[in-house]
Amino acid sequence: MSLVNLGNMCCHLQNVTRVRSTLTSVPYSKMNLQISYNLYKHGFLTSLQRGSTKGPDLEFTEVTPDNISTRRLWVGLKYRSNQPVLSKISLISKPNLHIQLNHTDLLKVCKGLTVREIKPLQPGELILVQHKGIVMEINEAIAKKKDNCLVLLRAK
Amino acid sequence: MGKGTLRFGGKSGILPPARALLKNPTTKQKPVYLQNLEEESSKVKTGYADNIAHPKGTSRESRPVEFLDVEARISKTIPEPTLDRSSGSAVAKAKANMAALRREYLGQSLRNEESRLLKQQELLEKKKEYLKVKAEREQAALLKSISIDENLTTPTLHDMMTYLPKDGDKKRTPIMRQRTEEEKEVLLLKRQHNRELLEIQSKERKLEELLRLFHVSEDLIVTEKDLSHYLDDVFKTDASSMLTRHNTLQQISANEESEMMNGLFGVVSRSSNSQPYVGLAKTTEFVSGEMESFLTEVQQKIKDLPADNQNNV
Repeated sequence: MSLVNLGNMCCHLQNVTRVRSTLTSVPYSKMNLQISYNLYKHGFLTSLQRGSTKGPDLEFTEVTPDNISTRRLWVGLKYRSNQPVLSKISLISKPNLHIQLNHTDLLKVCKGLTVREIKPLQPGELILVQHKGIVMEINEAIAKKKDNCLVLLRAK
Repeated sequence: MGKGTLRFGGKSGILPPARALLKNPTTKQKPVYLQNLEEESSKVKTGYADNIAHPKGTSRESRPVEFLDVEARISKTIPEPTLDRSSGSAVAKAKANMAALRREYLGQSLRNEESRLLKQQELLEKKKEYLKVKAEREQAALLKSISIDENLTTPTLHDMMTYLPKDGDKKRTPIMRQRTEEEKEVLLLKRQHNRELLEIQSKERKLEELLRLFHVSEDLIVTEKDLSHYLDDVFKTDASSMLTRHNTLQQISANEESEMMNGLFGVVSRSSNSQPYVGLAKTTEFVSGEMESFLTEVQQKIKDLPADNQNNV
């Protein structure tokens, strides 16, 4: 799996928060869907909707091979005191440098140690990891005792 | 404190690890030992791949483990003396007693070692089983506590996003519905139709061009006589007006008219006032025999009409 598309998504979200946009769309893919869902779950986004290139869906539309090219995921961005809640989102693993951590190393990152150039998790920060195709938060991965997780991104 | 002693916790040194009394696993250990070996080999495959040669002087397959029979070892190492020394001197008797004692101790120690190893193996198995059950229980408890289904504060968006896999559920709903067999068939037909339509359009265009060429060939200069005739014509008339003639508005409108005529009646008008050329539509009708059948049909209908009406037609 290439992380180029994920990098593009991170960059796009960061750009739109800087111009104080409230609604934006990202390509409709499995990875983007899981990332946005996790961001929503952890309070970085206000809404998450399926839609097309024209805008969010007003009624349920089935995704078929005929309309997949126009499908988008619409995400609502959150602001507080005119400051974006999602101020920075960046990749940790790079397209040509995937970083996989075992359970012990994941624990170290959460405990405040730097592991393989990954700075420790700060309060209010979110690190997303992927294990067997499922994206989850780093603490969740530790609680579930997941091993060999691909560290995807950090958001704050 | 001497050199390097701190490394050994302030002692002057550490004793080497005790040598194993039994170098190989015993026959009583065999079933559990083989089972563990099988489990390990199923986890990690070892050995040489089919296309890899093994180093010289080594065996491709690892040597099978030799199991030790303790009783056989005892009887072989310390067999009972064949000579009876009880009738000998006191020294000989004492020596024989000592030797018997040594034999007894060695045999005892070997048997004890085997039972120790068996006990150790049993304990390890028990521990393994316990850890396995513990891990399973922990995992089940984790999944239960984190399960999104039971967490009422998580929004129901999870269900909306049908792709997201649930905990412990390996089956995922696809992100996109694939085409059904019927849809696939319709799409195939559509593509086939488009392809054939393009082919027929291209064929028609070629045919039209061929027909136009055929008509134009009447005016082509192919003989010397035609050439001299044409040259005479050119020098007879005003040359400049001939050159600009093709670009006049009248010519353009005439071209358009000719296309329209072809479309409507299947004829192409000529630039001069002579008989118009036969267009593609009319030619196709003639070649396919449609024109003839249409004419016979019309004539048949005229014949079928009453005599009064036939005069009006």
